[in-house]
Amino acid sequence: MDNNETNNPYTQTVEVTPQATHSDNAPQTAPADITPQHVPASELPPEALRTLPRDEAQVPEPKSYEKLLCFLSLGLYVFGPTASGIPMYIVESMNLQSDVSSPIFSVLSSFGSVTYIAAWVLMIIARVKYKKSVFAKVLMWVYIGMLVAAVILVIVLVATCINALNNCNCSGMG
Amino acid sequence: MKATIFDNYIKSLHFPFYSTIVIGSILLGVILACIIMYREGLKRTSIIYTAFLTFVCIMVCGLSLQIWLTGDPRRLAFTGAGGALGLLIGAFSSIFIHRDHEKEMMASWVVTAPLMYGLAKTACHISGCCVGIPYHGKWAVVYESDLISRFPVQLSESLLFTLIFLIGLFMLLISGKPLLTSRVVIVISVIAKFSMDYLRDGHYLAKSPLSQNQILALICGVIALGLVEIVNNILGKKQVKGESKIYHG
Repeated sequence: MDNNETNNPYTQTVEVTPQATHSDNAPQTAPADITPQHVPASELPPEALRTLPRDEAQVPEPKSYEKLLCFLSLGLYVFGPTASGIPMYIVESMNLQSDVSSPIFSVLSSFGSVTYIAAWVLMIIARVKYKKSVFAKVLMWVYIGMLVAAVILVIVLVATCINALNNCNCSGMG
Repeated sequence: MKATIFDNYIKSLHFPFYSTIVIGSILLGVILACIIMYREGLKRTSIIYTAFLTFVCIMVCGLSLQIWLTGDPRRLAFTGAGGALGLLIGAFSSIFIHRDHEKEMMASWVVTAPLMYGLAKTACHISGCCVGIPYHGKWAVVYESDLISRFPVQLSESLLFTLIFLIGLFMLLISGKPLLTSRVVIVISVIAKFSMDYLRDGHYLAKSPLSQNQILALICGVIALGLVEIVNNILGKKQVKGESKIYHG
């Protein structure tokens, strides 16, 4: 046996134990029981521990944040635009002076934008970290569908508004 | 009214093409960024999620910055600086999420940003916004709204930023240095945007020496260069530490 092998207790177990059982005329099944896999993980050296499969190394599974991420994402996606859009509509309908309404619109639009982007970021984190999550997958397709609808709506809305402006002989965007 | 080669062209297309061209130019830029990222060796899932997130960020920031600046949600328009900020936010968030070829991912988006801006500027030319200074030369354009002969600053910006995109693309493909390419593209783009603003009519409406567009361009440039340095220094070092932690168990 090489010096390298004697220094390594993992290799030592494999080599020495079968020879001892043969000399005592023990049944042939005995060597199969004493394999490196059956040594308790706590007694294995760190080098051997790394070679074992993850479940046998008895590493505790990390806590799953899948549902938390998805619910947080959905909450932000619904709450953000609602919490900024409804007050914007109310302020606009009050016909306040621009000095008063402008800062309110600025803050509300920024809040809506930040929450919308945060919802997307959280959904993507959930999709990347928990690839098999059905909830995250459903969220992703809902968000993509809503995005496509919003893009079409913006195109149609701008085209309709500007056509209306043209019919009124008004100037368009400045 | 001086007749120019652009007269009929501007009259015939009118405004409804504004949003279609802006969204189309952003989509084209996103597709090109995806192709560059794929060529640079990024994983397919990273590319798809990054593309969606960055597109969302560009659209949301571009629209909301307009509301933020004007304080009027009825003035639905797209701000180039907002789009640039959105692109940086989307790309940087994706770099943190995926940790996949960080430098290449950053460079892909920075390189395609001038093309998005340049193509979107054709929408401004057609709709008659962001007009140039009064000018009576060969390339003068006249809009129906004010009937003044003007310098075609929007088309000039389109050509200039498309050229910057081509320079960045060739530099990225030939040199293979993504962060150096990013820095060069950012600096050239900021200088170009800053300089071209002097040819805009809106620049001389403000009483301050620097217009709002120039200040926004400088802010975007500083943020972009800062993010490139973060990707270069902090993220690179963190990745090495993470790898060594896994190796030692």
